[in-house]
Amino acid sequence: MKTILVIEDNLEIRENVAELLELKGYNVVVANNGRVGLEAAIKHRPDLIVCDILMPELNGHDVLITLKNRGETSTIPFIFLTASVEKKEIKQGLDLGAAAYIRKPFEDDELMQEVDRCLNNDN
Amino acid sequence: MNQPRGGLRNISPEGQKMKTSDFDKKSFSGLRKKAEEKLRLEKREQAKGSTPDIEHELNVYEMELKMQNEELLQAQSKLKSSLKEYEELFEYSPTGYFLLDKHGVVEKVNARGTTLLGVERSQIVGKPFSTFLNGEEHQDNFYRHRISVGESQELHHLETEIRRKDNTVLYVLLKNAVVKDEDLKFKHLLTITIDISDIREHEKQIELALRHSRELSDMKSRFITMASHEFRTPLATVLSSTSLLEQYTLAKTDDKIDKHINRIRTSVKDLTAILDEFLSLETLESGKVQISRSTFSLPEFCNRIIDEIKPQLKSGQRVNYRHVGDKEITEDKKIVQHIIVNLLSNACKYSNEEIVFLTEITWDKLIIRISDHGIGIPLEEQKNLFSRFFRARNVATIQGTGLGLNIVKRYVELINGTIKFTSRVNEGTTFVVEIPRINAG
Repeated sequence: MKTILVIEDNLEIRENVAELLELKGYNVVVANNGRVGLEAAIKHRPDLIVCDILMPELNGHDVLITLKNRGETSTIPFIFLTASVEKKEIKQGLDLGAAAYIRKPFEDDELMQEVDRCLNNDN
Repeated sequence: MNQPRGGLRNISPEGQKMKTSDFDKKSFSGLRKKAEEKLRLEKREQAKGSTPDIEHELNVYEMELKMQNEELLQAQSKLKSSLKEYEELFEYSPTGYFLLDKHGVVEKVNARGTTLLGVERSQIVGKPFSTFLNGEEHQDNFYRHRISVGESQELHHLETEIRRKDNTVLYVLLKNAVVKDEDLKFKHLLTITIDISDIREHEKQIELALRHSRELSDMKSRFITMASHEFRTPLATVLSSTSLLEQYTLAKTDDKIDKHINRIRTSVKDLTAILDEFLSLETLESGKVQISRSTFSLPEFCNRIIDEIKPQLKSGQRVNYRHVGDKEITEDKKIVQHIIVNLLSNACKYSNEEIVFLTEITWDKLIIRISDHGIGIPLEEQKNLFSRFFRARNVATIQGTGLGLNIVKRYVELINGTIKFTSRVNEGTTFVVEIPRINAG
């Protein structure tokens, strides 16, 4: 079973994303901020990370940079999930090596499509 | 011709008489006439000689002098009127003219110049021009400017301030140029003084309008950023909960269905609260808020508010409420409620520990004091705290529109109150609202 790590500070969105992924048969690990997310990524070595950008303690960009710089986590595909609409921020995220960028609010299908694409690419 | 003339000379008077006949008489008379004619001609010829020429020249010269004199008189009169015109131009020019000597002392000033300084001409002439400037800085600037004009001999501009006798300050533009005499030596410094106070005033208004427009633009950007983020978060919950509801409905898992219906309801409430804030702001800004005062018990009122706030409290967080003084107060309940709810909500949002809530009614005012031990407001950002859409950098991901405190301040001011705060980062914030008692005094 594939493991997906969801890093999101908003409780409702974190739980909903986790539930949506679980219903599709994924094993989901959740983290409520960047620092906890980073620790979980190192500990669980998930197959995919879905991560918010604006978060307390460590933001999504910093989480991605740190993971990319660590050999064992550098290849984990990374999807940004954010309420921001700033093109600069989207570009910055993709430049850092994110596989996809999903804007809130998102459709269930859109999330699943990106998740499938990232996991298949990974294979 | 010579013969008859010589014969006539030799004839004695007797002889003339002896030969006198009617014919002779006639003949004699004709000669005389001729001779006289000749003499007259000779005189005429002689008149063409030297003496009458000089006389003529003199006459002509005299005539010329008279004419020259007339021309001179005319020129003099023209000069006089021209000089008068220029003096009038100088005197009644709408621009202030000052002629300064090489030490900067006023030699001459026109009417406008005296009006600009607001003093009599006699109090200006003989005094250094700089004594009329507003303070040492302007005096020093003018001194340096005057020296540089003298050195470069070109028209120079200087914006400065004049302090008038009545202590009002005029913004003026000085245009200075050196006027030289026939030997190209310094004659005086012409200081043209133009009152630009109106221009300055308009400039200020334009700057103000520009600043306002920039603020609006800035605010618009902040609003878009805020609205985008604040709307998208609950909308993402609504949308994902709806997706999950669809799936749970098919699976008939009622507890999950209830959870997501509640989640949707809460998210819609959050969005409505944001929209209500916009509406409050709009109502306040357009002056549509009506004050409706009633008398009520403040401690009871506050306890009800605390009950309403409870769902917002984090685990381990509580409101420690205390009231001091009279209990009854006459004020607009809705406005007071809005102020307290907003300040308590902020204390909940930005801290994790106990919130100290104190109300006090003194003989002349109502005091509301709400303290938290939260993240605090960075010192450099405190000045913007009540600005629309402002959110301090350290709020991180704590949701908010940046409108709450702006609205609170407007409500406080609407009922003639004041709002103050003290804050330290990571130590906490205390807000103090003071509202004058309507029936005091």
